[in-house]
Amino acid sequence: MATFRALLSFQIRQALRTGQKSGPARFQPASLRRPIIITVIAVFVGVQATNWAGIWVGSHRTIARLAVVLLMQPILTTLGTTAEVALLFYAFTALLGVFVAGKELQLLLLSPISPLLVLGERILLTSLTFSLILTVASPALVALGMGTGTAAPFYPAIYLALLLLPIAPVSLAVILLTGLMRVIPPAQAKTLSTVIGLLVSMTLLIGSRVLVGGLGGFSAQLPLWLPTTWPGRFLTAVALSSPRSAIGYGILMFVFAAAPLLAGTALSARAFATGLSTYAESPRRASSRRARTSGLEPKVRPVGPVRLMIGKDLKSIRRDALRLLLYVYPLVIIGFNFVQLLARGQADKGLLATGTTLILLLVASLLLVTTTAPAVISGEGRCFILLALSPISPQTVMAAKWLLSWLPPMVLVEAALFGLGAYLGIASRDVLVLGLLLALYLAAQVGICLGANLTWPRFEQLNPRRPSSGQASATTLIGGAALGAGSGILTYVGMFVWSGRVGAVTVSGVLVGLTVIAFLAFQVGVRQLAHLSHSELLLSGAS
Amino acid sequence: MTAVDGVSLQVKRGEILGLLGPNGAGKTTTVSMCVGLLRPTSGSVSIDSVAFDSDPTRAKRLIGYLPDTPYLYPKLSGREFVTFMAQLYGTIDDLVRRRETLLEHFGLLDAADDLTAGYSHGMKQKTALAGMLIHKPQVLFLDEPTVGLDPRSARQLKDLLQGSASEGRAVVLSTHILEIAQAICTRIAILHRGQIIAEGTMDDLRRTADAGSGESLEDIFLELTGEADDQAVAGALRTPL
Repeated sequence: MATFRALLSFQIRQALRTGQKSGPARFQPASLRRPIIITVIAVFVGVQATNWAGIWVGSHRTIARLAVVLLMQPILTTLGTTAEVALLFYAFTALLGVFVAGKELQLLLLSPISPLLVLGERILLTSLTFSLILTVASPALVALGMGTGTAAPFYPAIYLALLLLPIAPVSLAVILLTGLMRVIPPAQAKTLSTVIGLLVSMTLLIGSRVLVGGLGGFSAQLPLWLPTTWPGRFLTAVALSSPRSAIGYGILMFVFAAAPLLAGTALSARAFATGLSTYAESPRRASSRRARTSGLEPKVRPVGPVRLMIGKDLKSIRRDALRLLLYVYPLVIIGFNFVQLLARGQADKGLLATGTTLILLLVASLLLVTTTAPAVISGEGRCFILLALSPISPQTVMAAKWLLSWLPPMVLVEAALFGLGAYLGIASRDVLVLGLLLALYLAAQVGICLGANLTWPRFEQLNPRRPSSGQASATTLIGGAALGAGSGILTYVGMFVWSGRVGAVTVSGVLVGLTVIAFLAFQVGVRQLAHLSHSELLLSGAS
Repeated sequence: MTAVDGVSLQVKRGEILGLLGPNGAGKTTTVSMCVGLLRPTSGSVSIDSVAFDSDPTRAKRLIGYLPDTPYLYPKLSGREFVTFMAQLYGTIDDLVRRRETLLEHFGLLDAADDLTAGYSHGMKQKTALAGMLIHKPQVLFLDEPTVGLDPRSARQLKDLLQGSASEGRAVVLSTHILEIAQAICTRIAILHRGQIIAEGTMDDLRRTADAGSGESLEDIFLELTGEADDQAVAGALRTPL
């Protein structure tokens, strides 16, 4: 037990020093600033939600009691099941970092501590991290309890359920990962798991929308035997003050957490003991990863630096399943929305259709840029050193990165605009103006995104689904949304409400404004790139 | 914190300058400033009379830099990477022959079409070296170049550096491996706490350290960096408990 406590304390100390890059080991209050702000906001929003939901539901107490019986169980069981499925795939990626990328695990396994203790602690700690994330949902559950006047034990039961809920998916992910690493090398397991994770999250997103739309909310009942429903059933039983059911489902919930935990710990400890960890060190079989080149070219033709860098990036993207998926993911989401729009398009013709199309395309542009453009920077990674050493100017590098980020979404969004415009019968003059607006909006948006990602770069690519740092993501999203909303509203109002000279001046003003913002954002990117080339950030190995 | 203070170095054509120093002495910072990756707060760097401040593009064309960690694009093959580096510097004359010669020299021909992501550390180091040499730089900067290289490749590298110097190139080699420095460097500079405490040929260093003719670079280095006491500690550690 003392060893287990020591391991946990070691992990917690490491977590508290997140963000500290050098100097004497000490507690870093600055590194906790962001989590504290997020928690304070979450609690504030949660308390407000609790308050308003309580007032609203409390005023209809009889209906509320009925709601507990009719709705609480389906809501909680569905939420529990969704959370467990999502956690299974998130845990898979998180554990890959622990098992493959984290060399410290191998160090601990070399020490005279039982592998069962080491791996059990890792699984529990990963699970605890997810529990902490899930507590963000607790104010909503507390609100549900307060509003429906449930018994007092409901509130501690919420936290018990949230504590136990991630253990099963995390343990199952360990079992799956151990099995997967038996047959394929970890480097490929990482790619495969991320691909699977993205596909599943896409399916879940679209599936949930279809389900909610088709079934009218949470009316579907999940079967009793499904273990993922047991935490929800346990909470419902506690809420309805039925001790027998509560104890029964409580035991089942505990067993569903403990059994996979024991199995996962034993299996992974056995796998590591038999030398599975050495897989992490073995290089990928080179013969299976050959670049498709058609023999030796007789002569290499001169290529301009911009084209050279775009060509190199396109080659890298084409050969990287994870980066390709970054393009596919928004396409699927956008495609799904377009299909929905087209399905009811005939009824929406006219000004409303133009407005809806404009909003949809602006959102699609923002989504495409925020997903794909950051990877253009993080994909270069520390190889920026090679560009910084070369006689290529920061303007040229920025132009290549900007074109690579701007052209694909621009072509896609313009094609969608012209297609939708023809289908919905939008006037060609309006389509042309909207096309110009979208092209310039994308140009400005790409500039903001690249500038933000060069200011706060993320060079480590442990999680390819997050090529952007937090600050860069927030800046891009807030800047892009504000720019999109402002320019979209002004263009729409200018074209259809203030038509004539006032409208034309307004629309022209928006287009000129976007051009200026795009130019300024490009210059900021160039400056940041020049700064980055001389920055210790690139040399120190820090992100 | 001042990493490097008052460092002044000159390397002539045909010379191999060894930059030595204990961990944290400022070797990598000095090299990073020389290749234009870090801007010195004061002072300047000139390559073949081209000042970095006034014409960085021209200065960059003259240098080749191999960092201590090889930076390669993981989704390019070794051959594609070397081609890319040549195109980046605009030196494509006779590129195919020069590239293949370099790949063959470093024993990379068999793996030249494999993605560099699958390379071992030594292969990555050799590919980065080929990428550095492909544009025929006049001044070579190498930071711990032998780390991860097998004995044969390390020997090839030493021969290559000596060959480059004899062809009239200037070479700056930052290393911890004193045997290599003693074997191939024509001049040695010892950095300690950000300052050059000794510079010159082996004989010059012996004179500076008041050392006898039989003393090795290791003895001189430890004497000059005040780490001779470490030898006593190491001796004590060798004593059975």
